[in-house]
Amino acid sequence: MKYSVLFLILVLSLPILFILDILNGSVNIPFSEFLNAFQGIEIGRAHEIIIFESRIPKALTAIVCGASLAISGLLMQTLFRNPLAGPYILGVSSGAGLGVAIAVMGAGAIGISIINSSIALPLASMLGSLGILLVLFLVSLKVKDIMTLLILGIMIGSIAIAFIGIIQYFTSDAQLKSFLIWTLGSLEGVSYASLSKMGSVLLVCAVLAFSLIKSLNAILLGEQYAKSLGIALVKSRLLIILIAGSLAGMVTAYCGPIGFIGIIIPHLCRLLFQTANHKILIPSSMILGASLLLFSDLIAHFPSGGISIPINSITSIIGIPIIIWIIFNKRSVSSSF
Amino acid sequence: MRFWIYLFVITLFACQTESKTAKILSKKVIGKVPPRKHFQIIKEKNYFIIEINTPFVEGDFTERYIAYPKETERPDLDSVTHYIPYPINSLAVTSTTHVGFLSAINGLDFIKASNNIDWVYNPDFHNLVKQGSIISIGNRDLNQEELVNSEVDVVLSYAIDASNYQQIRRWRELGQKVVLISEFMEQDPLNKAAWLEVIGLLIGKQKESIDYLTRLNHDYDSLKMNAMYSSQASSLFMGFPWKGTWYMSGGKSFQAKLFKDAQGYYLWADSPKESGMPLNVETVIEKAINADVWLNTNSINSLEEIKESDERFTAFKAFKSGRVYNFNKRVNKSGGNDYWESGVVHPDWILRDLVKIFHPIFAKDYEFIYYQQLK
Repeated sequence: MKYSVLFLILVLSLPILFILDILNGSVNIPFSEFLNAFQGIEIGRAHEIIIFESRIPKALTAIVCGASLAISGLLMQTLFRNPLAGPYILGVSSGAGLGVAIAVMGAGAIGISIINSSIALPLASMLGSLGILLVLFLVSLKVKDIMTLLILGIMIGSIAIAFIGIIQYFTSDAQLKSFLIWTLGSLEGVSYASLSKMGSVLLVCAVLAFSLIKSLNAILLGEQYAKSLGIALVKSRLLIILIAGSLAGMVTAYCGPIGFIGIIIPHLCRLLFQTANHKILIPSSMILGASLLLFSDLIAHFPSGGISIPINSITSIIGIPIIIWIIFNKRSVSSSF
Repeated sequence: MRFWIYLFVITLFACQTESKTAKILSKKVIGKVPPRKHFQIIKEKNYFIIEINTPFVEGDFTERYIAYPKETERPDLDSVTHYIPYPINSLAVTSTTHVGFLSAINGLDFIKASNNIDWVYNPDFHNLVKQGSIISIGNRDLNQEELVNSEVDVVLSYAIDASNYQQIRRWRELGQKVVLISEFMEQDPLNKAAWLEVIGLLIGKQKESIDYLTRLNHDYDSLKMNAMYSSQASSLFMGFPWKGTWYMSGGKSFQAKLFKDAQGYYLWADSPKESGMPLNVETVIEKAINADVWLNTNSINSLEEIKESDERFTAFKAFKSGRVYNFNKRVNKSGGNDYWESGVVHPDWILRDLVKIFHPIFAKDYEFIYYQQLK
């Protein structure tokens, strides 16, 4: 009973935040114009474009990215059985960055242009994420201690950043500047066409994640237990890596790295629902992730005068205190693992 | 091997574009200015074709715009083309160089929106901002919503890389007519200035822009010829290290070309690069210790600051003789530097400054415009 009430609140918060996010932006559009626009009454071309071509896709992007990062983080935490795992912390986002850096700067160096391909950049990003996650997983087969693994993860992420640094050092300053811009992250650059691609990846990954609920729950209880239940561990783990890496890489490709959503959402859901059951955690994480990113975007565009704060800064400001709180409030973390 | 990859890629692109391209390319190229690398304007019977080739370093493709007279019907060409009815009434600018170009042909009135307003040096521009005829569309990053809301006819912009170009595409999806001005790709100062013609055409001042460029070419060339008669020779190096790395402009860069035309002996003139080369500080000290002139010291504005930042630099001959110069004479309080702004259409002024630096006796009576000597 309690689950359903909480779920209802979560589900209701999503459309409310969605509407608020559309109403709020750099350009001030009166509420009456919104009402007219949705009734099909003429409101002027510029405002029409801003509402339908800019704000709505931006809000939808926030939903898709938030849900994707939340699933990705949840799956990583379960895979590594580590409460602090997440795409940003484990260096998976850096891996995506490395993939893009190699693709953008490397392709230019050998005389191939990947500019006109809308597939190359996201693909490079996803491959980069998957690569880092796979390396981490292989290491995790040798190293069992979760803290050691976390530190190794951070180190592998740092190596990725170091490689990006080396690549940047040997490319012209013009290219360098644009790569740095990319690393700031933005929800505004996503069109409906890209959004449909992102949505499809999320849909496939979410369906796969739901199909893995039994394995995910078993993995949390330990390797021996999972084996005794007859779970094909290797296959499940590889699928988990594929889902978590693809989702993190996809978000990074289209919007740049967005930190801390992936790590905090699963914890918030565990605390809210007081359960470690993925049947509850996967859908609730998706909804809460989407809501929190919408909320972050709302804050990002809140200052008046045409300023908007990079979304990554907002998610960090919201996320880091929550992580610190989680670490201090250890009981609740350990109880779910 | 690399050549074959290039050939393959070029062939691929050639196959993608429609057969009309061949017809277009065979038409005569107009204009009296010297050959240019990254754009060409082709006159057709009822319209102009503007082609931007390799708009940025990795952008190995051609952007094609059709500029047709406003009152006539839109010509129907291949689907990748961007159509612009001209002359246009309003512009958004996204680089201070755009302000430089427009000011050369009295076109500042066309600007209705700009980002990074503080970085612009031009006082007339700031008067227009005060009057409210130019609105701000963002600081640092351009604000997408404000851009759409400004409802300008054309957005002058640029892409320096793939991700930048993605952003331009996004603006186009939002209905903006974006024209790429890739003057930064040109390493020849006159080719850089020649982009004025693209902007001139759009605002209906093509004749003014061609007249301006013809005059500029004449002035630049005669100054260059004059410098050749100087018997003085100065060797030079440039830049200032940042976090231990000294970015020295390549021998094929815009700066190196100006140094050469001013008859200065640039120590890295032989490097085949267009971009900046990251060098170790020690390498620079070894090679440049006896150079006569030190130019373009970035944010360093006095000899004292040089000494404070690194004691070793006092050993440079140029430091000892005080022949250290920076192009920071025209800088506003927000750091907007006119060298990058009006300098784009005044390579003759930059050249004259350099001639004065390299040949002090030769150009004694002339006052610096962009450069000044560090004290």
